[in-house]
Amino acid sequence: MSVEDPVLVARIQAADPDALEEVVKTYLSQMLRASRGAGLKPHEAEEVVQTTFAVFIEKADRFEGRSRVRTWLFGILYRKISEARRRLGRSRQMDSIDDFEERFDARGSWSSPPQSLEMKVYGNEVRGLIENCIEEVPLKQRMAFLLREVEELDSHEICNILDVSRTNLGVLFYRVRNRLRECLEAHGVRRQK
Amino acid sequence: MISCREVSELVSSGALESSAWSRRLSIRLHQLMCRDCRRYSRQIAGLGSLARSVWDRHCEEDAQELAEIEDRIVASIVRAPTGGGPDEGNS
Repeated sequence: MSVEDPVLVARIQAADPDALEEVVKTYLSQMLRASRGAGLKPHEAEEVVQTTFAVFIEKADRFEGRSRVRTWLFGILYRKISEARRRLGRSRQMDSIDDFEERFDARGSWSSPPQSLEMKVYGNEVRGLIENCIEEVPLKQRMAFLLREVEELDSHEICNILDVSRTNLGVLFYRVRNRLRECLEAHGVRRQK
Repeated sequence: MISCREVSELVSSGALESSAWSRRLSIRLHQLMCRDCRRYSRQIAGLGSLARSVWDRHCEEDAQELAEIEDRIVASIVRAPTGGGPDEGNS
């Protein structure tokens, strides 16, 4: 039985220990992976995931069941990751992506078109470059990107997790994707001729 | 006539997927004629698999450590259910 099943949700709301354990086992890997993806080291990921589950267990009786359990968990996780990164001094405040706009002329055509890029990950050097590019992305954009591309969640759920509107989510995707693309191009991940 | 800037915005923001059929058609037609926009779209589409391969690699490298972390977390949950005991673990 899926943990999202209404019967199990009722047991979660009743703080049934077996149901709570079921939830933990279901989502644990995904949450650790998301925390790693958000830039935390394994022991830091452990702490935020542990804390998230503690909050979940404490508030289980207040879970209203309007969203999925997963959405609720990831919402808490995102806030905990955000706090952890601030504490660790890893916040990225600046966001100067609007350089991307400068690639177009007044009519909206490319004035500075995209260069040819090598999109496959060959070797450690290229992987290191991409990792560095990802590290520079502000957390909210990074989370939106990984929840979509790695965890394959739909927009509706991502909006609930990050507490943003659909329009805002579009802006987040626009920023992170263009930022990554620009970063790869700037660091010369060009197609080998 | 849709511009390159508009196409890039729709493609990168993900709005393309939820756009009306007629708009998606305009974009397809534009891309047929515009090599730069075709290239751009391919690159944006490729970012996802690039990121996934980096993440997969991280997970492989951390597999052992993550497995241990998982065991610890499950053990702490099972050991200290809702009421909590004298030893709460790492809270």
